[in-house]
Amino acid sequence: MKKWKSSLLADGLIGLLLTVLALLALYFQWGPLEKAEYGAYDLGLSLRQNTSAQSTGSPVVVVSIDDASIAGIGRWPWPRHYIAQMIWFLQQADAKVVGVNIIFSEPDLNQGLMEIRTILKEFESGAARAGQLFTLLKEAENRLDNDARLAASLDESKRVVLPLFFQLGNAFGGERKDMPAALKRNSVSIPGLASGLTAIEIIPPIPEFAEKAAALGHLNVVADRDGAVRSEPLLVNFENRFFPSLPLQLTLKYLNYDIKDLTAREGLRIGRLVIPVLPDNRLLMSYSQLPTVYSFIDVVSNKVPPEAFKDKIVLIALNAVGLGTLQVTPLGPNVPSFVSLSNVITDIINNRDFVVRPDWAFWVEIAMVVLFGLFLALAIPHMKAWLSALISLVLLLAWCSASLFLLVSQGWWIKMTYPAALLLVGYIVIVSKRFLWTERTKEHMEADGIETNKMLGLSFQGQGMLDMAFDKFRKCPVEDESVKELVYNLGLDFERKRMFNKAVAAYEHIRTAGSFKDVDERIKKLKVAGETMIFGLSGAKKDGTVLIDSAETKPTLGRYEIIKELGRGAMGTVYLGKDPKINREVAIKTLRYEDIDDEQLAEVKKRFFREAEAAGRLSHPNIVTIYDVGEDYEIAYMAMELLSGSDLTKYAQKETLLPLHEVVRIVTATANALDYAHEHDVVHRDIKPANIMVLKNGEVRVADFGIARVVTSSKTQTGVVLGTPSYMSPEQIAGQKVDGRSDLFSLGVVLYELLTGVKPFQGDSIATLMFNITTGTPPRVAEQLPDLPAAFQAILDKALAKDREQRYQRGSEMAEDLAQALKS
Amino acid sequence: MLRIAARTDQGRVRRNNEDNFYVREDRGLLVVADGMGGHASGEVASSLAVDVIRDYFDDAAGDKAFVGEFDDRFLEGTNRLGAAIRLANMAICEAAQGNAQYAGMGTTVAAVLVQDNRMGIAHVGDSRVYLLRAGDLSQVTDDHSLVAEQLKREMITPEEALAAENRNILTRALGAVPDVKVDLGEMTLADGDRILLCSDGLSTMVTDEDMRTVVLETEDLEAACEKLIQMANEHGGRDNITLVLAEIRKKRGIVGSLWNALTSWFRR
Repeated sequence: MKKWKSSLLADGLIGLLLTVLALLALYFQWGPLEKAEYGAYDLGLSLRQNTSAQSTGSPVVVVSIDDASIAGIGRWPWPRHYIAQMIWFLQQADAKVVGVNIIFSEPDLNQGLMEIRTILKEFESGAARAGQLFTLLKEAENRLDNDARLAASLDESKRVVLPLFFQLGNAFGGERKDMPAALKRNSVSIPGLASGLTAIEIIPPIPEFAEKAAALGHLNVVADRDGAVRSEPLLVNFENRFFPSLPLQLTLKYLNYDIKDLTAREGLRIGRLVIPVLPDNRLLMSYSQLPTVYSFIDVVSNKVPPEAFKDKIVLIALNAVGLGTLQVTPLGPNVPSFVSLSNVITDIINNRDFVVRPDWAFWVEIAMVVLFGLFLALAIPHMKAWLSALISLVLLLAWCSASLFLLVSQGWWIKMTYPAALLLVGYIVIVSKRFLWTERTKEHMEADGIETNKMLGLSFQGQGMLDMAFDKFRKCPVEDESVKELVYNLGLDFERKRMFNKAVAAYEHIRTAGSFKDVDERIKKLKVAGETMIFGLSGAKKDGTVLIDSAETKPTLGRYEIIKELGRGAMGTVYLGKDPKINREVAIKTLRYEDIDDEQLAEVKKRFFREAEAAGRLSHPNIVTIYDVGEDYEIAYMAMELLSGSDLTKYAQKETLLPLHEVVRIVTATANALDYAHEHDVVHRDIKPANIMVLKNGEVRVADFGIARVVTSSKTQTGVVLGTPSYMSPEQIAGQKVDGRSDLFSLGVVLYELLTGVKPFQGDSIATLMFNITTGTPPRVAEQLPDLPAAFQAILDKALAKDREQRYQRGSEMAEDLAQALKS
Repeated sequence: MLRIAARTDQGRVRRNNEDNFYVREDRGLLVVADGMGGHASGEVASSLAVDVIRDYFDDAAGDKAFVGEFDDRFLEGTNRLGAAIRLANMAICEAAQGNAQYAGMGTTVAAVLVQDNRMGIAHVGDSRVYLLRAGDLSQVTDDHSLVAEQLKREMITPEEALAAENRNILTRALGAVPDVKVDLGEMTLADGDRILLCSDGLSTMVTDEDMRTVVLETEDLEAACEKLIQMANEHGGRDNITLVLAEIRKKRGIVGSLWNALTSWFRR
């Protein structure tokens, strides 16, 4: 039972195991799969790019410090007054908010300014505070003090948001009390919001700027594991305060909100606007909108109309070779960072096209993994290969396109990779396992030979077709121990069948591959046994022990094991045998063909089987039961009831006569048995004390029905008469056709003998005896037994009548008379 | 678990019994084979078939080679049953070739393998497998005989089929060709289902309706077998009669067996 389900069970287990693995991978966001998922995500976003037309214009305008600007103005870093000028300009152009994507964490200390300041210090220490030179120097200082000019522009325009930067890491320690006011102003504490990203160090702009800027926002980005930027950390937690990012600050300013208006409920909220964020406050960027970009130099040289900036969010950003930050994004590698920034702003302001991970996304993924796992474990093993391939493919495509569709149309990011990978890998594993498995069975088949030959050989051996079994075993490699064992057992079987030459051949076959068990001794012994066997055939009449030879294995006749010789009968030896199938001991009478002339063999055989089968049909308590008739290796045999008791020969002696009632009981039983047999058209032909058995429990059995005919027909015709015909009826002696009444005559002789201990007809020679039987009158029993009731004489007279018409016609009549006689 | 009764009878006409059967309760294996051929060779063929199948499912003899094509539609056990029958066919073919006295011998075989609630069925020839469920008797195998083929193609009517002279002509049998096609089948068994495997000595002598009645009316499977053989003999007993009758019983707890006892008491 285990075996035949194992393949299905194994498939199921594989499916289950893979499902668990997929769930674990999903839970721990296993690297390779997560990367694959990013690929799918990027594909989805790029499709999104194409589908959602840039209908609503972006409120973001980028002033790009590009290669052209650097070529026109000078090498970077520029003196900061250029930025200040731009801020002035944008103020004039009425831009709503300006974001500067350049970190000013150090003061702009140029050498000229430092020199002038040193000279001015000298002047001031020398109290020379007047003079044209001093004024010139003072003016030069003012001109060269870019920071001051930038600070002034910041102060004046009141719409500039400056960046700050965090060293991200796991923070420890609580809120620092001495946080500068500018930083405090630009951060909030939002209760109930997950802490998300934390920072260990802040890199703010220099205090002059920080004080003057309208707001500060961080510029940190978080790259995914593959190095790409797909999300924006809207808030960074520094010392337990949340610092908004630059684009978030810009958005707040643009929408006239303050940082205090940030709340957290089902995502981040700015007033009514909901920003769906990931649990760590990251916003997935849709990258659906590209901002309008103007070159810095173009703006400066008034090539761009100021209207272009009116009420816009303007980002001043670096985007020149070797400068500025390039990011890997779903749009591709080398995307300037302002694209991400502007996208965050656009997404929030448009408040649509968000890419989100719905709360239920994770559960959907788990459900799909489990579903596909069940499909793998339960469905595939029962399907045909092509069907499972088709269904798997359809499922895979359906799942992938469905999740892609959701991403593109709804912006719902459901990780398709995990279930898809499970389906793909699982299918491949299970199908290839099945493929390998069937390959293995094919291999078995092609190896055809060995196993199949062994099995067929065993089958033939079981059927007694030993030669064919040997042929099969010979096709197996005899070097194999198991094959040796098989051939060895076959050899033993050959021995049992007395096919010694074949047995030797089998053992010799084993010996070609080295020694095994006792084959050498067996071969030696069998060669001797084989010679005695040939000798034994002719010498059988003398010692008659051919069947019980020196071989240790039990010889068999048909299905019977021969245990020992019981005696010798008219037609052959009688053996004690055993039926191994039902573990029953039987007596086996054999007919040996070699005693019979060849020309008569067929006839004798036919008669043997006919008579034996006729007798075998008889079923009577007083008749020996015949179980089986068969022929095996030159010996016809008959298996019959094994009796423990003795025949009547010893009670036919004067010294050991049985009491009268016992004699009557036995003869009556025999008469009844004969009556039954005659009714079934079976004539015994050889009723004599030796064929009537009295068992130990007193039961009477008549043996050897019909066999006399087989024997006499052969022996008499070859001129040999065994024993004396004392019990023959006159018609038997005359060679006429006999019937049941002949048996009753013989029974009369037996009765006479049992009563008196002498035979009714006697003679010096067979000729005299025969003459007496046909013509003589037996002496009256009263001469010997004066006490015997007269009725017995009458019975004997009737039984021994020469004319069969005068005799008892049926055994039952004789039995009745005997019963009557005993009563009188 | 299975309750099994099996019986074979020589019938009234044949001089020998060429049928054979084999049942093994713990493996759920039931086999009936109906041999044919001159002299005693039909007996040899059917007993070869039964012995090979028996040995094939005998674990003690070790792993067996798979013979023939593995059919993905069926369970391994059913395929093994098919393989066993194919192997038996090889054995019979070779024995017939190798021994003049066995030439032309052959046998039908019908075998089922019950594993839990699944039954694998394999057969060749006109020995049949019937299923008795909820009072209905249905034949679950198609005879591989000329008459059955003609019937299937509607060349003759069922009445003509019953009376056909040539109904003993088989279109498929073990021993005919070295690569016999074995029909496989599978079905799910329910508690109380009875399975009947029989040689044509029963199915041609006793109508399906009589079979149904006999098998349904008694709880005693042995008695049912006895009765069916008696009926077949009363109707002529023209062929050897062999049948295997099995009943599927779920293993029950003590409550279940009490309930069973109760309901069966009421059913009387």
